[in-house]
Order: sequence, then C-alpha cells, then structure tokens
Amino acid sequence: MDENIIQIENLSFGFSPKKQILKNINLTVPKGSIYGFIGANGAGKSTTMRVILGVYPEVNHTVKVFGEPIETAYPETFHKMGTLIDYPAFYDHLSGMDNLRTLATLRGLRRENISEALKLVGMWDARFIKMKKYSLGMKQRLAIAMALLGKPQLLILDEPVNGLDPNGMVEIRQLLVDLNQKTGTTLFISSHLLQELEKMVTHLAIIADGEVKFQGSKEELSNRYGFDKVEIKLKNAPDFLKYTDQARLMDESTLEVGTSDIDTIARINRTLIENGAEVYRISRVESFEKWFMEITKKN
Amino acid sequence: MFNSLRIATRTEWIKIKGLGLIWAGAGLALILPLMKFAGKIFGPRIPGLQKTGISLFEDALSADTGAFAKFFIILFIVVATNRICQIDHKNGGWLLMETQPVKKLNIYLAKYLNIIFLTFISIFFFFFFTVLFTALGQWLFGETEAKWALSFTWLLQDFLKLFISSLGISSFMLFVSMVFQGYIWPFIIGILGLVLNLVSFIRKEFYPFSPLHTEQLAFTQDIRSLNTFLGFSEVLSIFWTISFIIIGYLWYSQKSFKRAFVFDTKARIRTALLLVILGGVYYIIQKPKQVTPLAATSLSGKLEGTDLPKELYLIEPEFNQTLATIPLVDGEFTWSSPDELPLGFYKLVSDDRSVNTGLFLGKGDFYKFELFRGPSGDISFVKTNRKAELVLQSMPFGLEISYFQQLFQDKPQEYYKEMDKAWKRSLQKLTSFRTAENYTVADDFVLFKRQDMAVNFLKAANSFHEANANEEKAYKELVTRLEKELENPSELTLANPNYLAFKLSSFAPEGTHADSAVWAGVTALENGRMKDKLLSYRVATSMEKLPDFQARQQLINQYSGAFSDPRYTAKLEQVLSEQQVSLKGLPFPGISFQDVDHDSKTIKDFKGKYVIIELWSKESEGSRAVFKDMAARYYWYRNLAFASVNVDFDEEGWRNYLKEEHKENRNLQEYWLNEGAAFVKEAKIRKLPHYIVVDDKGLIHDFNAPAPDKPEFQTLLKSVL
Repeated sequence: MDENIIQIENLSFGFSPKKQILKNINLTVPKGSIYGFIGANGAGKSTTMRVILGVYPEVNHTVKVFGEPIETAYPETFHKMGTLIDYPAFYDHLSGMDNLRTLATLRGLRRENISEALKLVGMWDARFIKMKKYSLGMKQRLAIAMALLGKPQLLILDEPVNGLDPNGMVEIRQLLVDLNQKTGTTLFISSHLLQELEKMVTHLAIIADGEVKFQGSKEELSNRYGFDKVEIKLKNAPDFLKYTDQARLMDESTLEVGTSDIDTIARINRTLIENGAEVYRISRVESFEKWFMEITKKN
Repeated sequence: MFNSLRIATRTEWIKIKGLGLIWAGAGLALILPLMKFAGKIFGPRIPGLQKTGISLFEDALSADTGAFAKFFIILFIVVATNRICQIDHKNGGWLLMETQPVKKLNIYLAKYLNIIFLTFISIFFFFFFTVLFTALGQWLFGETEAKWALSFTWLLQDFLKLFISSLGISSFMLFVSMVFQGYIWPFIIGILGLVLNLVSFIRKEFYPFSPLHTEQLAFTQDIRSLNTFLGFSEVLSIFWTISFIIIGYLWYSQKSFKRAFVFDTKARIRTALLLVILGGVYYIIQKPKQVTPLAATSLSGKLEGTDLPKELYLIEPEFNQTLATIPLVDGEFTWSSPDELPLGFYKLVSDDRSVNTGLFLGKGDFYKFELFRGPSGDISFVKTNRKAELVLQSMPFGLEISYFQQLFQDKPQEYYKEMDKAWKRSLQKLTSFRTAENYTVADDFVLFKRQDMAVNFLKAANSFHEANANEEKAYKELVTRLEKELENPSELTLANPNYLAFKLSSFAPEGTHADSAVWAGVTALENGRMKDKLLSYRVATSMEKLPDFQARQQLINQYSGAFSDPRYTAKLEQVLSEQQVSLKGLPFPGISFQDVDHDSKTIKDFKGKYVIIELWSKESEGSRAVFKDMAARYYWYRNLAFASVNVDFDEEGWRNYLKEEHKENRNLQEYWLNEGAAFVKEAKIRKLPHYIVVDDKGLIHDFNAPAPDKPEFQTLLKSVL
C-alpha cells in the first residue's frame, strides 16, 4: 500500500470566505484500502466528498486523485471511479436496467457489465421495474450497482447502507469487503453508522465540525487510544485480579482486558475458570463510539 | 470531442425514454391538420375555395405553418425543455452525470441537441399530418380539381426555415429550464413569450429582443415572398442559439450567476467581453436595413397556370400609359431599364387581369414575381427592395385623430395638445417602422408618407378650428408646423389625391368651401406642373358631380386649354370614358341580387335610403369584417342600408360560405350576384372589395367609394346623412 489513491493536503473550503465548512483537511487514502470517513451529520463528510469529486470547485490544488490534481483529472479519471453520493441519484421514470444503461453508455461499457452489476447487488429480477416503484433499499442497491459499473479502481460511497434492512446491510458490507479483497478496489466510504464501518474498514478518518480529528489505520487508532478492550463479567472480580497481569478491575463484577486478540482472551478465560472463577459474560467494550461521541460533544 | 458529444447525446436520449415527448410533439403537430380535416367532415363545404394555382399541399402548409410556428412548436419546446431538465433537477441527476466521465459542456450540448432533435421530429410530424389530411380531405371531399404536385425545394425550405427559427427558442428555454429548478417558472416565462407574440400580432409590431419571437417573425408571410431564404428571423435565431448556449453553459459550469460572471477578475473580464460582443452583434443584426437599389430598374417573374397571357404591360401612374410591353416566354418574363423612372405606383397588367396594381417603383428598384394562375383566382408572391414600402402603404397612421374632434369638442386646449402628441407618435411609428424581414422604408417614401400624414392632420385641425375658434395660438402653432412639412411636396405627394384635394380646398376662404373660389384659385396658378396636377384633379372630381356625360365633356373642353402639358387633357378623356360605366348621377344598373331567402332584389327595393354596397370575392373576404363593423355602427341611421354582395361564388357556394361563417350580421344584408365576374369586368372594377354608394333615389352617388377603414369613408357617410 505504498500508493495513495486520494491525497488531500490542507484543504479548506467554504461557499463564502467568512464561513469555512472544511478547515485544513488532510487525508491519505492508500490504494487497496477500505477507508472509513466517519462523522456526524453536518460534520463535512459530504462536502469533502463533493470536493474530491470536483462537484464543488477547488482551485488550490490541494486534492489529488490517482496522483493527479482534480482540476485536470476530471472527467477522464471518472472512468476509474464509481460514486454514490448522498441520496442515491437516479431517473425514476426509467427502469433499473435503463438507469444503468445511461451510465454504461457514457462509460462505453457493454451490456454484460450491466447484467453483472445488477446480479452482484441482487437486483437482476427487478431490472425492468421503473425506479419510482422501488423501495428505498432497492434504490440503494441499484445506486451501488451504478457505482460498481465497469469495475472501478476507486469507489467513493456516501452512506452506502442507508435505508437497507439489517440483512441488506450485512450483504452489502460483505459485497464491498469481497470486492476489496478480490479485486483490490479501493473504497472510500462515509457513514455515521460507526459500528458498520468499524467492522469493515482498514483505515479511517474522523471528521467533526469540518476538521479531521484522526486519520490512519485501524491499528494506529487502537494503539493510540486503546480501543480494543474486552470486558469480563464474573462473581467476586477482585479475588481473581491476581491471576492475570493484563486485566484491570473496573468494579466488583468486572475485569477489563486491553486486547481484542482471540487467543489471549481465551487464555485469560481458561486461567480464571481453572482458578474457580464463575465467568458469566465476555463482551467487547464499545469505547470507539464513546470516544466519537465525546469528540462530537466537545465541538 | 465529437465522439464524446455523440455518446453524451445518446445517453441523454436514453434518459428521456418514457417521458412521452415524442408523443407530445406528434400530438401538438396533429392538432391543426386534424381540426381542418374535422372541419371538412362536419362543417359545410365551400366549393371553389381551393386555389388551384398552387400545389394543394403548399396551400395547406402555407396556411397553417404560421400558426404552428407561432404557437404549437413554441409550446412544445417550452414543455420539452422543462421536462428534460426536470429529470435531472430531481433525485440528484446533475450530480450523477457530473461524476461520470463526460464534460459538463457535453452534458449541456447533449441536452440541447436532444431538444432540437425532438423539435425536428415534431415539425416533421406537422408536415406529415398536414400532407396526409390534406390529401385525405381532397380525396374524400374535394370538389374542384387540385394541383397535387409539391415542390420539394419549397418543402425543404419551409421545413428548414421553421427548424432554424426554432433553434434560438430551444437554446433560451434550455437556459431558463436549467436555471429555474421548478416546473413553474420556466413554464411561466415560456407562456409570457407566447403572450408577447400575441401582443405583437395584434399591435403589428416586432419584438426582436424576445428570443421566443423569431418564429413570429419567420412566418408573417409565405416563404416565396421572402427576399432571402436565411433572413432576419433565422439570423436572430442563430444569434440567440449561440448567446444562450454560451451564457447557459457558463452558468451551468458554476451553477451560480455570481461564480460564473462576477466572482473574480477573470470572470468579470469574460463577462464584460461577452456583453460587448453579444451586444454589438445584436445591435448589428437588429438594425433595420434598406435593400440597396440596383443600377437598372428590373421586373421579372414566372407565371404558372393555364391560359397565360402572351405579354404583360407596365402602366405608368401619371397618365395611365403603357410604359413597357413585356413578352411572356414559357411563363417567364423579364424587363429592365437603366432609364430614370419617376417614383410612383405603377401597374403591371395583362389583357384580362392585373398582376400587381400597386407597384411602388423608381429607378433601380427590382421586383421578382411568382404568380400562380388558377381558375378560382391568382396567388402572387413578390420579392422586392420595396418590401417595407408595400407593407407601410396599407398601414394607417394617426387614426386616432378622427375621433379627437368629438372627444375634445369643448376642450380646444386639450385637442391641440393631443394632436401634437399624436403627430409625434405617428412620426415615431413611421421612422421606426420595419418589416418582419427587418427592412426599413427608403427616405423618398418616408417623405411621401410624412406629407400625407401632415395633410390629414391639417384637415382635421382645420375642421376642428372651424367649429371651435378658440386657442388661436395653439392652432396656429400646429398648422404652421404641419404646413412646413408641405413646403416642398415630393413627386409622390403631388400625385396623392389626398394632398391635391387638401391643396384645392386651401383656395377657398376659411369655412366657406366656395366652389367658385377653388376654380378661381387653381386657374390663377402659374402655368406648370403644380397647376396641371391640381386642375386635372379638380376637373376629374368635378366631373363626377355632373349629371351627364355631355356636361362632363364640356367641363374638360372648358379647361383643356389651361394645361401646360396636353397629356392631362387626354388623361381626363380617359377618366371620362371610364365614368361612362360608373357615372355619378346615373341610375345604378338594373341588376338583381339574390338574398338569403332566395328572393331577388334590385336597387329600387332600397328607395328612400342611401345604400352602401360592398362587392367582394373569395380573395377579398378578409375585408368583410370591417364592413360588418361599419354596418353595425350605423345601425341607428335608418336612411342607410349596407349590402354585401358576393361576385364570384356560385350560389350554393355562397350560401355554404355564409353558413360556415355564421357570424351575426347587424344591419348588413347579404346578397349574391349571378354573373358577378362579368359585371365587375364590365364596370372596369380592377380590385375587390369595391365599394359603391347609391343615393336615396337609386342613382349612383359614388361608384368608387373609399374603403370603410379610410377616413374619407366617414366623410362620405357624413355627407349623405
């Protein structure tokens, strides 16, 4: 991952000089990564994505895609990109198939590409139904199919699982992860659904009030803030603290272990049980969300 | 670039699938042809109305293309552009397109190309349906022989003209529909453009500043009469096309007027340059033009049809003498002369009928005719550098002053103030006049028209002054100014009966109109052209008042020695011979008319009333509205009768015509004259409609009465009431 697909350096943007929406943004999206771009509503996610896509004018050469400043990269570079920005964009008087045909024509793709994309998102059977009759979930799937058309090297997806039911979310998440792993497609995904992204991203950036609070790999985040923690619920917790040096006593029935490594957790559990502890629950501590909430609250 | 644009256009075409725009274009194109066809099925049929001189299809297309161009195609463009932009305005369509490998310019141009392609289809459907239903109508209901052949060149020209003149509208409406996201504003703006076209149609003014007006300009006349195929409307349309594509794209590229035009120095410089260039080009395009006269005066043309004459005669206006005999070879004629030709209204006639009786001609002028001669009438088209003069000739100026006298009866101060304003308004109207082809009037004609107006204003002011001898100062000021206009009457003014009558009246002491004073005044004039003209006019008009032919001959004899140019005596002899048919004071011919109840009437049936007769033909039926209006206006004058007499229908055709017209007639009686054409020929009536006033004793009062829309008609009516 030595090549950056998206490179943003000191990007500031606003519709008027007095009010800056984005403040000195720095982002580096490595090739082949699944990059999560996380922020609450109004934090600046969509604006950043629109600037990256050249929808909002940026003239200071602060944004590069595929190593080229966006001022000169577009529209040709869009051949290598698939996008889903904000609410899924589509022509509701057309069928799903015709919606894909519009983009396939523009991209010079063949009919097989359309079929492949439709099948990939499970919309093949609904291809001739007009989009105005689609449910929100169907629209979201079709929008993803539109983004996937022509197997782009970079996918920029704004809230891609919005409107999907829990099963749909899992399916699409799995689809995207598979795509990343099988074809090496770089994904730049924004969401406010932290848990969803947390499970799939390799890298992430946190944005709040137009400023990036963190960006880096998931490991870097964990190392810096120690987010990978496990909570062990047992009776008389203080009595068993002495059997493991990795645990901290949180209260009378809780020990906290700073790891997410399965083998380590299993080993600690075995030690506790061998010493007579009555363990009744082991669960992950959701501190990532707490931390994110804190950042948002501060601002 | 072109491949990318082609792909973008194809994409846009896929996007409009299912919007029903082709159906809408076809539907709007179907309305007019279908309505006409329905009229043939359900309405009464009028035999003989088909002008067989030109192609059946050309006739139908010419009749309806104007209406289609001025309303239906514009409405279609308004709807189509609105609809096409709406699909991107909602559901993030723009964002979707702008994040694809396609340039914004191509997105914009692709939309435009789709709109004009749809317009093309709609126009095609209009032509197709018109031809189809015309053929069906003729096949099923046609009662006269029709000319089926259609000139492909004409068809192509008509089609292209319509298409080219629609390009600017499409460009403007695309810009409007892009800028305004909702349905309503583009629609309102489009409808306002249509309303402006309607206003222009009613007021007979042209608004080239409206991009939706080009269609209106393009089809004010048959394309055969256009001097150039790519004329003012098309150039203007191309100008609007380019302007709004540039402005629209600049806006679209930034999605903001501020960012597109004034955001930074670069944008401001670009905007300033754009304004200067587009403003300059618009100024040049819209500046009215005068067609430069040629070195030689020329007349040429083509006559099509049966029973064509062997030669045509060019008749000069002063003495009605044949200036040139022009042979017709294979239906074509050509004549040119490098000689000086006095400016005037010449006539081009054949042995049996006129080709053109109001040929405004001077040195270097050209006329190119296309005349289609058919059994039921002629249709002629003319290209000329005197286009503006021909249009302006029939346009009234200062009409409002005719009611000022009554309106300001006891307010002389206001009267003169309003007269002053009306004079300025008329002058403005005259000098700013332009035709739909953007030709303006030559200075010689402006002077003539200006002097004619001055005569009318002077006559009105004098008449008012006789009744209201107040406000001497205001009266004098106005009269002095108007008389100054007439200090140097032009050659055309000297041939203008209106001027001559006014000039003669000036010999009588104010308010007296004493006949003897006028005779004394005119005979006392210094010998020369002015005297000859005034005297010949005076003799000719006085002859009409004499009861018999001998008395008129005596009058000519009495004054024949007073002319410097003996040709005036010959002219008066000719007038006299014409008057033998339509002699004033002689009994009206004992012809009988058929009324709607199948009864025969003669002029004796109107005894005790003055009868105003309008002789009309199929060609001149447009004049009936004015005559009807006049009849209704004089409803309460029981000593007046209005009779409308058709001279060229057969009886059934005339009855069917009236049934179809089914308009209410108030105080107007309809008649049909059997063998009317023979009567018209015998009476040497050269042009229809023709108006005759018969007095309460059944004698001719005025066989050549002025048309009802002329101020002289009012004067005449007042004289008999």
